[in-house]
Amino acid sequence: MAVAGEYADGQSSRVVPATLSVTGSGIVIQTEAGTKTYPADAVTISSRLGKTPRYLTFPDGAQFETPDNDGIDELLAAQVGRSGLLHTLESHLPLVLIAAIVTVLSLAWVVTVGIPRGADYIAHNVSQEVVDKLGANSLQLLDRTVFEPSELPTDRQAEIRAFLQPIIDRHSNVSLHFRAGLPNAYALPDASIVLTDGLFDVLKSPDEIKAIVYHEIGHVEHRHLLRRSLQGSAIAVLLVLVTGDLSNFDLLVGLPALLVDLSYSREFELEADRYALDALAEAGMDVTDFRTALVKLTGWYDVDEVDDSYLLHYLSTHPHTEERLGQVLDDTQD
Amino acid sequence: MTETSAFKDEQTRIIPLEFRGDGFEFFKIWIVNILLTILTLGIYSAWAKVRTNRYFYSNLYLDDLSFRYLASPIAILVGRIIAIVFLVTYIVSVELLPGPGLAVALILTLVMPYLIVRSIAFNHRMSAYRNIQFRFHGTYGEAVMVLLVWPLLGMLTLGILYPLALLRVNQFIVNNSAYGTSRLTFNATYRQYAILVFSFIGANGLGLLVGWSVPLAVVEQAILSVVIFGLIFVWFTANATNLYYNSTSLGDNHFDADLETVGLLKVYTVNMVLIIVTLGLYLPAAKVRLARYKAGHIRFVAVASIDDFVAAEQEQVSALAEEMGEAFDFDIGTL
Repeated sequence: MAVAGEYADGQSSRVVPATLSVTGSGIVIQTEAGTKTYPADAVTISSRLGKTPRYLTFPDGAQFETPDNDGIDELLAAQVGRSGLLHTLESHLPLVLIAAIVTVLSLAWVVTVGIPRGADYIAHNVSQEVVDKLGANSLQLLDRTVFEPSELPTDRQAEIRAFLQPIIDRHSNVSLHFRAGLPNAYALPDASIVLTDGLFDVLKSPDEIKAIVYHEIGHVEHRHLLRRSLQGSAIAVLLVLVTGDLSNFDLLVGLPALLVDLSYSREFELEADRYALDALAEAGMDVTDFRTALVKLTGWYDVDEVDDSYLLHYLSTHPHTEERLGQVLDDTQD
Repeated sequence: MTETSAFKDEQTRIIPLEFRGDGFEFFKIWIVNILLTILTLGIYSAWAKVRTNRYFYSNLYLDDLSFRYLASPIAILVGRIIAIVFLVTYIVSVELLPGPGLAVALILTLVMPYLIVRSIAFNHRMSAYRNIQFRFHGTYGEAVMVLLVWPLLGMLTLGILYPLALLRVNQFIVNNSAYGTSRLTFNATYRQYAILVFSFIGANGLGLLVGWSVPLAVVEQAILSVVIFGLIFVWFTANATNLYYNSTSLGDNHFDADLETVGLLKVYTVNMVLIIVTLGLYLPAAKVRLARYKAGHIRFVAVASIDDFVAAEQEQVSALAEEMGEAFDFDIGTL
C-alpha cells in the first residue's frame, strides 16, 4: 500500500509528485527521480486536523505533503500513535455536542457566579492599605479633568454637611465633597463621595439626601469599584482564552464584554440599594425616603431625554427604576 | 532538464488563492479548544492557538499546495507564561506606583517596536509554503521610525503626513519580508495612500454631518451611525487590502487583489447577524466565511517558475517576543 502526495526537499520551492510506502528498511519516498529511504522512527508527522493535509518531516529537512489522512493513519499507525486523539474529539458530532453544552454551561457559570464570587472574595481580602493605594488621588485626577467647583452657597453646603457628617463619620475612610453638575452622586475609588449641585435642586428633604448618601456608602463598603475592575479584567482574560488571540479582539468580541460589564454594574447598583435600605432601617428612618429620592431623580432625567426602551436596558449602567423600586416595595411590606 | 529551459517554457500564470476550510468543521475544532482551555485552566490555550492557526494556514492553497503553520504549542506556552508574568508586573507597578508607572510606560513604548519586530519574525519563520519558510529582516531602528516617529509626524501635521506614515509602515513590513532568500517588495506611492486616507477622512466627516442633521431618537440615531460608519469602514478595508496586495511583488511575480465593498459588506453583515442570533456560536464559521471571501479575491500572478525559490539558513527565533507582544496588545494591522 502506498500514499500519494507531494515531496519538497526543503532546499528550494520545487515540489514533485511522490508516493510513500513502508518497507522493512523504513519509509520509502518514490519520485520520478528515484527513491529515498528514511528510518521509520525519524519521521515527524503533524497531528490530524480537519481535512487539512498531513505533513511528514524528515531529518534532512524534506517534507511530504498529502491530503490522504486515512492512508497515513493506516500506514504509519505506530508513528502516529495517539496524536489523533484530538481529531477524534473534534470530529465526533455527539462528543462535540456534549462539549458545546458543557462549554456554554461552564461559561455561563463562570460569568454569572464564578467571576463575581471570586472578585468579591479577593476584594474583601485585600487590605485597606492596598485599596487606599489603588484609589489614591482619584478625586484630584477628576478635579483636574472633569469636575468643576460647586457653585452652592457656603452656608447651604455647611447646612447639608451638618446633617450628613454623622453618617460619614461612622465610616472612617469616607469623605464628602461638593462639585458642580447635573443631579448625580458618585463614589470614587478613594472613598470620596461626591454630590453635585443639581442633586440639591431635585432633592430638598435631608432624609432623601441621606438615603442617596447611604447608597453611595454601599458602593464603598462593598468595594464595588475594585470588584468591577477585577471582574472586567477577568472577562477580558476569559474572552482572550475563548477567542484564541487578542488580534481578533474586534467589535463583535468586545460587545459581549461590554454587556457583561454593564450587567455587573447593574447588580452592584441593586446591592448598593440593598445596603441603603438596611442602613435606613437601622437608623430608624423611613425607607420610603429612598423610594421618593429615586422617583424624583429618574423623573428629572425622564423629562429631559431618556428613552426608556427595552433594548436600552441592556446598555445602561443602572437597573430600571421599577426594578429598583421593587426592592424598596418588598422592604416596606416586611 | 535545466532550469533555464523550464523558465522559458513557463507562461504567465494567474494562480488564485483558495481557502478550503469549512465553517462547521472549524466550529467543532473551536468548541473543543474552548472546552479543553477551560478544563485545563487556560494551559490548553497554547494548543488551541496552534490548532486554529494551522487550520487557517493549511486550508489556504496556492497552486494546489497548502501553506503551513509550524509553531510548537510548548514554545507558545512558555512565551505566554513569561508574558503573563511581565504583564502582571506591569499592571501592579502602574497601579501601585503612580510615579514610576510613567517611567514604565516610557520604557514600554521603547520596548514595543522590538517586541513587534520579534513577533513578526517569529510568525514569518513559522509560516511555510512548499517547505520553504518565510523570513523577516526588519530592524529595531526602522521599527522605531515607522511605529513611533512617522505616526507622530502624521499627528503633528494634522494628518497631512499620515498617508506617508501608513505607506512607511507597509513598506517596512513588506520590504523586510522574504520567502526563503527572496525579498518581497512594496511599490505603492504616497499619492495612492493620500487618496485612500483623505477619502476615508472626508467620508467620515460627511457621515458625521449627515448623522447630526437628521433629527432622530437615540436608538435610531445609533443605528444610523452604525450603518454609515460601518459602510465607510468596509469601503476602507476593501480598498486598503487591495492597495496592499496590488503593491506587493515577489521578484517578477506579483499579487493582484479585487475585494469589493458590496461583497465584503455582505460577508460582514451576514456574519454579524448570525453571530448575534446564535449568541456567538457562529463566530468560528464567520471567520471561515471571511477567510474564504478574502482568498477568493486575491491572486498570485506568476511570471517566472515558482519552483526556484531558495530556503534561507536556519536561525532561532523564540516565541517569547511574539507572546509578549500579544499580552501587551501590540498589534499592527497589515490590512
